[in-house]
Amino acid sequence: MHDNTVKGFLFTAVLFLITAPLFGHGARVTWEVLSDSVYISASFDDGQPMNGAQVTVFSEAAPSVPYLIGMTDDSGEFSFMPDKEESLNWDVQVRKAGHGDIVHISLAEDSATDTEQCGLSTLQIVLMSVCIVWGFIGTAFFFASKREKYNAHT
Amino acid sequence: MFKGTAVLASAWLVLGLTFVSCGADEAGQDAQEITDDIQQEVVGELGFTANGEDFVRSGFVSNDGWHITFRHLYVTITDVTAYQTDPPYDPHSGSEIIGDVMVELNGVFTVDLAEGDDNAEPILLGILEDVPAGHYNAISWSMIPCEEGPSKGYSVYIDAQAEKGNQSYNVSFGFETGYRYSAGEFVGDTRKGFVTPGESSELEMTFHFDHIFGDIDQPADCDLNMMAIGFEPFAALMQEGTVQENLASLSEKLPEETYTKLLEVLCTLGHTGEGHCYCTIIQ
Repeated sequence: MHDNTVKGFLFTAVLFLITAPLFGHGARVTWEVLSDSVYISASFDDGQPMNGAQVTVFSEAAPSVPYLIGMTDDSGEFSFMPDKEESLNWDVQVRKAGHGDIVHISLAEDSATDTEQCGLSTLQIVLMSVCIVWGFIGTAFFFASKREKYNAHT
Repeated sequence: MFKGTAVLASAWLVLGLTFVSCGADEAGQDAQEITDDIQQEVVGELGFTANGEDFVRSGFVSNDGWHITFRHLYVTITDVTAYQTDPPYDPHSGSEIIGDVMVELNGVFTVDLAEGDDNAEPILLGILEDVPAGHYNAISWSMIPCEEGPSKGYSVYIDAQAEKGNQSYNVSFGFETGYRYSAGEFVGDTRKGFVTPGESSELEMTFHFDHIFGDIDQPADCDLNMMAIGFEPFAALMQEGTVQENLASLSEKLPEETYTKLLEVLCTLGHTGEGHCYCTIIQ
């Protein structure tokens, strides 16, 4: 009876210890954009490279149709040159031995900066700058002319 | 005096127009968002399936040489939710899914993943009609103890035969713990979850039971087999050709290290295709 109580306590304790969120094991895929190419690196969760893994590249323009199919090298790496005319958003899926992951790559940093500037074109930005400068100069002229008149009176 | 005032007025007018034009652009963006909302109202169908994959339907050999065939493999699934997320959900983030669009399949479903032959289709749990169009790139679901039927009291119930050489055991395992799985996009032969008007799409909840027993067809030092328990620790519990256990009894009979490993492995059962999940124990 005492033995059962201890074992029951251990069961509860182990279950409690494991109630912290856990991740399933699997694959990790990282990417980097250098110059005009995308570099993919794939490994299993234990750090082993996913060498010889199937790589499928999808463009946002046709997300269900593979744009490119290839294979990782011995280091679990793969690179490709995306066609920016076709899309700025690319998805890359890497699979091997029942494990896989998909990553989403955006080449649109430039357009993200534009968005922060309320989506203005270069011409609009130049015009806005001219207008703002003219606004300040005009205000300065107004007060300068008032001062001249004041000096003339005195 | 009149000339100076005119200059000031024109300067402020230009300044005002500049900021209004920027504001108008924001208004244009609002209009675009409204258009996007209208676009969201375009609807299609989204089905949800459960899949134990071929080796559950046709049997497989564990990493320690036991041939395991499943008569039944029940799992009970509920709280099935699909999401459109931007940015895409990453299960490594260790967080719950936050979706821009979220649809839920109501109900509790107990399914037998061993049903059918090698070529059987995944088991359809249900179809949601009239869901907003778009890419459902994340899914979550819970696996909870069943309330009735042969798997009553268990979220997972295995009824199998395990054979090795001249040894043959009837195996019955029930796992009473509940799990919540959160996954990103389906990873597999095809991409899933694209709902377009008038077209059906689907998402899959996939269960990898080779994680418990391992797979002799994979290298012994591969991630899967290093993580798996195999069948020998269970065979050691044999009584008159039968192994009949649940988590409570296994916690008493298995070595502590093996039992802890089993709990961890059960958390890795849920996948979407080959894409793995963020898992929490819920009961």
